[in-house]
Amino acid sequence: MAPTRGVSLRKNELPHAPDGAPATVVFEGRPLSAKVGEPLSVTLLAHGIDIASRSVKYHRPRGAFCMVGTCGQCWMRVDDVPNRAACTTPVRSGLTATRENAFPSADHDLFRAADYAFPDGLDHHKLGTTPLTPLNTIIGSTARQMAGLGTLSSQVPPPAPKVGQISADALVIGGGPAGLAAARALAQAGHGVLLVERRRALGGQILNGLFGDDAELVGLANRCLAALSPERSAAFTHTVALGAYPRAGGLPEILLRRHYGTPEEQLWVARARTIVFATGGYEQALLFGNNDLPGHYGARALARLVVVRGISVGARVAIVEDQRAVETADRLEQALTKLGLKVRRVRGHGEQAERVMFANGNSRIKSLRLSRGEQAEEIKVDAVASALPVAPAFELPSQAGCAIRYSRLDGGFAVETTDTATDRPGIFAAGELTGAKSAAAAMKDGANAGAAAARWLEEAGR
Amino acid sequence: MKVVVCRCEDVLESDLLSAISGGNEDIESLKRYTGFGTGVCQGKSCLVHVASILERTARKHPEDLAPFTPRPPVAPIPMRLLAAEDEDTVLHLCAKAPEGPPR
Repeated sequence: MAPTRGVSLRKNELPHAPDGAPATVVFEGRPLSAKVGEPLSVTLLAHGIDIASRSVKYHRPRGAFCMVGTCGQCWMRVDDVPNRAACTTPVRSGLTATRENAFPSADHDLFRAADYAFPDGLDHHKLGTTPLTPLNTIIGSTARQMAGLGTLSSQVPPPAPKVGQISADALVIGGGPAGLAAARALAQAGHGVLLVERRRALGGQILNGLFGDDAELVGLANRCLAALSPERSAAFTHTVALGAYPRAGGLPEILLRRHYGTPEEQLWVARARTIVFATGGYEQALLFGNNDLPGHYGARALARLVVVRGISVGARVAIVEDQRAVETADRLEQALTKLGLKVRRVRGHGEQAERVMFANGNSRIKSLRLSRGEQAEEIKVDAVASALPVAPAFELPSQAGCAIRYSRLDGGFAVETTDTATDRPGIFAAGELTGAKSAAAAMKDGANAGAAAARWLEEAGR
Repeated sequence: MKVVVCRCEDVLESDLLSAISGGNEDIESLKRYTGFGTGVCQGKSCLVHVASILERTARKHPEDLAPFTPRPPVAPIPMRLLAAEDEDTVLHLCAKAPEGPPR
């Protein structure tokens, strides 16, 4: 590919990639060109390195799936610290990274013999339970050698900074469409708001590059920031909410990890008179044979990689979808087609419903075997995007004592609400956390939750 | 061919099906028997798959499906951060001047 703007493109980079100051990272001893601030996973994929790790038991190759730090497939050793998610580790010049738990390398791992030796899986309830004790000991120690996540760092870590204490009228957890709208409504009603967002920018799924046609959604983060008064409100970005701890006489305390994974990281404890949970959900991978091979991404993750970051995942993309996430699939198809990619929709719903039987490929997905009624078809693909409803991130509301219920249509265990109020007084929930809905619907839901939380503060004179 | 439900612990769909036919018909028992959901993602990528497998194969009613308890921290953190002391002062983000910490 021809160089643009005087900078030669990396192997898998498309010409519209956003600029960042050039940097070099050292990956397993090899210097790689990178851009300051981009996630390490993006650097690696730009150079065509799609095996991010080896699985703990069978040593199967694994690639980045979620791109937001939750799926645990891209953990590697970064600057001699083990178990860092490459997809949420921002690049700086001189960063070093290696994959772990592979011999001799993650690209060619002899331990994968465990995968081939046990094609139907290995039952650890039966392994190493022969009547011969010495044999069990050997099996036990071999298995322990092969499994795992790497070794501890030899460095002595710096002392941890003190835990920050913050209190607010209202705490909003999640800076996607619902959380932004809720924070805005609360701030407009005159309340002090602490807004917490896991990623480094506000927007959640709005940042995935699929909502360019929706000015209301695209402008939401700026409208929210404009409403937050600098004297009595704050937005903590790059901050992950780790837990809700019940306490006597008030709403639960929320533990926050600010600037996680950087030298500036610090824990905070937040207390508030009302809480709005808008934690969204986690992208899920469709189940089929070899569904865990590199090349299978969440639909939103793939959008972020290709549309926002300009990384090529190949020319042929299959979107495997069910009826609950048609909007995401439609938007992804549109965006990818616009970039000249060949998109094949594999619809698991409707009269012509297709099923993915399995994927072929050894180190990455090369083709999909589909079935439609009696017919079978094989399609060649370079990447697969799973478009399913996200699984609601119910952990914090559950720890706070809110009722949850299982609903397949809503993507899993969702928080139960009545007009955005949970069954815990003063705690509200909105967006995909309470069930599958479009980004626009999540925004409306969030605005309602913010207004309800504001009323709750005012009614009780809290 | 392996259908991987829990990637962190390499738990296959076949492992879950055989555990279910062995009598583990709820999420907590399945977690304890197969180890699904006990890896680095703590169930974020597999819990709902297991729920839907139970719904389908063990004919469980949605109301009878309960997740395993999600304990903090919900994302992995270095232990050293938890060993820190608290700051003495509290930062207040309140419309009215606070008389004390929120109750």
